[in-house]
Amino acid sequence: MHAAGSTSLNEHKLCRALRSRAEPGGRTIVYNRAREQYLFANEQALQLIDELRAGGTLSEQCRVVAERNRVPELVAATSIVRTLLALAGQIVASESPDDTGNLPAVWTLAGELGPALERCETFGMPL
Amino acid sequence: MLSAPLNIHWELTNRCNLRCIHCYQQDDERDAVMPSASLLSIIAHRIADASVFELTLTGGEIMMVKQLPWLLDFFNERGIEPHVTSNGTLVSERRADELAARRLTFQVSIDSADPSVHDGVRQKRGALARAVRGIERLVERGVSVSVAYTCMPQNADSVPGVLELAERIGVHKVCVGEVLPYFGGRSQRTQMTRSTEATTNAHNRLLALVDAYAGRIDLKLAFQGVETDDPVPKRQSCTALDRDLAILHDGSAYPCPFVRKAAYRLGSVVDTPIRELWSCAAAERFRREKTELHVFHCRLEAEPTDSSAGSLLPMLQPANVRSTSVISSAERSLAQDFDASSASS
Repeated sequence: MHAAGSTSLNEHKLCRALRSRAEPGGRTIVYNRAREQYLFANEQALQLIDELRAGGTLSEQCRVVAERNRVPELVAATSIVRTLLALAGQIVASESPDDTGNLPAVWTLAGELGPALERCETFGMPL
Repeated sequence: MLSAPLNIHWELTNRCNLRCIHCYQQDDERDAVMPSASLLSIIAHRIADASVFELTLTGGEIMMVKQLPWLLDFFNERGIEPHVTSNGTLVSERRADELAARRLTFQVSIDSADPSVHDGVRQKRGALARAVRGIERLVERGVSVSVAYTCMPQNADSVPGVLELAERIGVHKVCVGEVLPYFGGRSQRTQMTRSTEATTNAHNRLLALVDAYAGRIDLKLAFQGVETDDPVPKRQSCTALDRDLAILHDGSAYPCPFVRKAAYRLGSVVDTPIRELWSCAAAERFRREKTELHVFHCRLEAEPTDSSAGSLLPMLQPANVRSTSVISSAERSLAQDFDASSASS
């Protein structure tokens, strides 16, 4: 991942705006309408989205993720922040699942399905 | 393969108040119909059940569909904010109010800021003025409006003017696409393969405009280059049945709005859930042909002819048009097979 922007992030607002759909193989597509962006998300990322959507705080989620994965809170926090920034379109998500074990992770559709699939267009025409 | 499309292109009607020379639905015209409320309701529920993320509502001319506000409410309630594409000529004050009360994006096709060119392509005097007024009504009400510019030899030099017009009327997004290798109805189809030099030059001019309008207008290019910073123009990837699905006015599902041969009809969403159509045998065959045989199915739609755009409208003479066959032998063979199977069915 690399930095692609520096605007502020409101994680609750972001998570409420996301839409998702389960796909075969345990993957879920997450769609950010405002950013015109599609991503795959793993189960822990979806749980994170659900918790934040329900009003959970980032500090709570850092503890939950750290305990669940038996990693230091700093590692959990890094994973969460990277996931949220990617969902917000502020960093470019990786092209394949990160080597983060079972930590929250999102990745692009492009690596698996080609770059054309993750653009918000209709049959090639931007909207 | 995904379990369902990400985006559905739904042509609610094939009736239209204009007769644009590049319209790919000209051959439908004799059967132009308005949809019944019950048919619209069935299709809308099928789309919602498929959990698609994006929905493009179009026509014909979609503003002729009186149930549009109901449909927008239906999808808004399910978290979908449709993209509505229109020629913009029927956006009255009342219709603008209706649209502004819903969550959507609205795209209007503008071929040129020069009325003689736009109205010529649209074959309707006053079409540009009406479209511009329609856009202004929507912008005044806070609707997110973009302009679609379809690049053809007839209007190849019109992009700067369209950008100036867009900025003047408060539109901050212009999407540049191009016509298919063939466009128009069968009786007056025109081949549109440009030379590499012409394509590259046009592409470079567009890239310069992206920079010139940065921060003022978001210029999106579907014109040859996949990315706006791509120095080498190249064909876009076909997304039919990978992310996109087309539903026609009667509920027929097709891989693409530009692939309307009966042999490629996947079925009807009235009878069959979209997820089943998405993975049916006909869909799988289409995907195999696309990926393994590298078939451009949209080219199969047209018989190659030597007709010129000059025969359509004298004032619109094409430039940089090269009349060469773009259909491979494999595609030609497939086309003959499908013609035969369609004739026998």
